[in-house]
Amino acid sequence: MSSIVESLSRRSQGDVIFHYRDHVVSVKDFSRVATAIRNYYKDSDSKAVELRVVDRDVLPYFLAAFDGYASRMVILHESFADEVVLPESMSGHVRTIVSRKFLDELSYENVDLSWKPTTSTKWLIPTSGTTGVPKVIEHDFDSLTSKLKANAAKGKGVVWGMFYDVTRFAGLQVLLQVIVGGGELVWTDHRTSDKLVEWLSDKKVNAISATPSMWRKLIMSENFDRLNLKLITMGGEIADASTLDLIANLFPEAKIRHIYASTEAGVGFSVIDKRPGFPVEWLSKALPDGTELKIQDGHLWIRKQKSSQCRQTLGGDSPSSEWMNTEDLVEKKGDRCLFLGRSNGAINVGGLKVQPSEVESILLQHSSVKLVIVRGRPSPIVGNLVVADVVLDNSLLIKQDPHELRQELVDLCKSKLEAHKVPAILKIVDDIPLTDAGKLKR
Amino acid sequence: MNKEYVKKIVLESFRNALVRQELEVPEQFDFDIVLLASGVDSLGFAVMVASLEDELGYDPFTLMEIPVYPKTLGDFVSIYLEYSEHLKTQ
Repeated sequence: MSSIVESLSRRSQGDVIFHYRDHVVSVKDFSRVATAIRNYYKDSDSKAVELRVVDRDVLPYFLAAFDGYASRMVILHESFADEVVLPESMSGHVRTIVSRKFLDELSYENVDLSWKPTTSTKWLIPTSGTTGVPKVIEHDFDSLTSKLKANAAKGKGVVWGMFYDVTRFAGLQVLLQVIVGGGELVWTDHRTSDKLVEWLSDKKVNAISATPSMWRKLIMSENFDRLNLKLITMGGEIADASTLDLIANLFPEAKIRHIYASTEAGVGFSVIDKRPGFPVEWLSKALPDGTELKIQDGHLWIRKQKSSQCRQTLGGDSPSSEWMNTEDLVEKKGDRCLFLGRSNGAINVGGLKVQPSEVESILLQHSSVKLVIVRGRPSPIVGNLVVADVVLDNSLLIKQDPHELRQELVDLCKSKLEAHKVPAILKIVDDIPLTDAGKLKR
Repeated sequence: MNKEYVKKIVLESFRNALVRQELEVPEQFDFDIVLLASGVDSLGFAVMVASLEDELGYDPFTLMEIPVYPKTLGDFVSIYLEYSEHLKTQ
C-alpha cells in the first residue's frame, strides 16, 4: 500500500520540492504542513473528505494529509463544486477548504511526523466536463502512479514547471511524478505575465508537461527557446506532426513524449519517437505493461491490466477488465496509427463529416501559423460551415500582407483537402483562449 | 452610397465563390445569370452568405419574414440591397 506520505519518507528530507513565487518548500516542510492538516482533522480519519479547492497551489498539502487516512477524497475546484453529483460512498463527508488562508490559521505545534498511513485512499477526480457537468472518476495512489518513473535518484535534478491545473488528472500526474520521482516543482502562477520565461529560467526548469495547444502558446513567448529543456511531455489533445517537429527542432536534446491518457482510463501509453500517432504493430500485441489496443468501427479501444486500472463511479458501470471505447477516431496510415479526432467532434457540412483536427493539422503546416482552432458555424443552407481562427507569428505578420497570407492559407487547404473541408471563413485573431485543462475550446 | 458599397461587396463575394470553385470569372457580371447555372454549388452559396454576414453585418435570409429564393444574380444582389439598412457601421 503506497501513499504520498510513504513516498515522501523515501526522499531526502532537506531536498527542495516546491518553488513558489516568493519561497521554497523542502520535503520535510511539506510533510509537516500535511501532518498539521491531518492533525486538525484527526477525528475524521477513515471518512470521506471533499477537498474544495480555492488556491490550487496548496492542494498538495491537503492531498498528502488525507491520502492513506481518509477512505475517499474528492478534489473539486470551487468554480464547479456545487454542480457535481457525488456518489453514495461520499455521503456524510467532511468538507475542507483548500486555501492559503486555512494554512495560515493552522496550528503547527505538536505535529507528530511519525504517523503512518492506515488505508488505501480512493481519489475521486473530476473529468474535464467539456460536455455537461463533470463526472467523478475513482482512482487510487497506485493506479495514478503506475506509469510514472519512480526512480528518485534519476529524478533528482529534474525541475518541472507546472502548467496544468493541479486539480485535474493531467496536473495530478505532474505533481505525483515529482513526489514519487524525486524532482522539484515550480508553480507558474504568473503564467500570463511576460515574466514567465524569466521565472522558468531563474528556477532552472528543465521539464514541462502541457497540451499541444499550450506548447504552441509557450513557444510564442519571447526567449522560450533559451530554456534548457530535457523532458517534454504532451497530452490531452492530438500531438500533430508540425507541433512535434517544431518542438524537436527547438530542443534537439530533449526527450519528447506524447501521452495518451484520460481521466476515465488513466494513462494508456506514451510515444517517444517524436512522430504523431503510434506504431501499427501495437494493435497486434500487448504493450509491455499488458495494455492492449484495437480498432473497431474506426474507434480506438483500450484494455488495461487490472493493476493499473481505475473504476468509474458515476455515469456508467462497465467493469474495469473489459475493453473500453475511447471514442477517439483513428486510422492506419503506413506504419502508423493516427488520431483523427473525437467521435462526436465532427462538423457536418451538408451531410459530409469534417474532423476539425484534420483541417487544423494542415493549417499548422504553414510556418506563419502558431495556433489554430477549427469549428462549425451553423448555416441555413448546408447545416454547418467549417470556419477557422488563426493566430500568426507576430514577427512574420509585419512582413506579409494579412490578406495575401489568408489566401495562402486557403490555397494550402485547397491543395490538401476536399472542398467541403476547406475553411469557408478564415479569421486572423490575436489569441485563442484555452480551457482550464489547456485544450482548445471545441 | 451604402447601396453602392453593398453591391460591390456582394459581387466581390460572388467572384470569390467562382474562384473558390475554380470557375471562370467573367470580366463583366451578367445580372440575369441564373445562380443554379453559374456553377456555384450550395456550399459555395453557404460560404457567400456567411462571409457577407461577417462583412456587412446582416444575413437577409434570416431577416426576411416570407422566404424568398433568388433566382438570378440580380435577385441575389437586390435582396442584400433591400435590407441594407442593417449594414453595420464600419
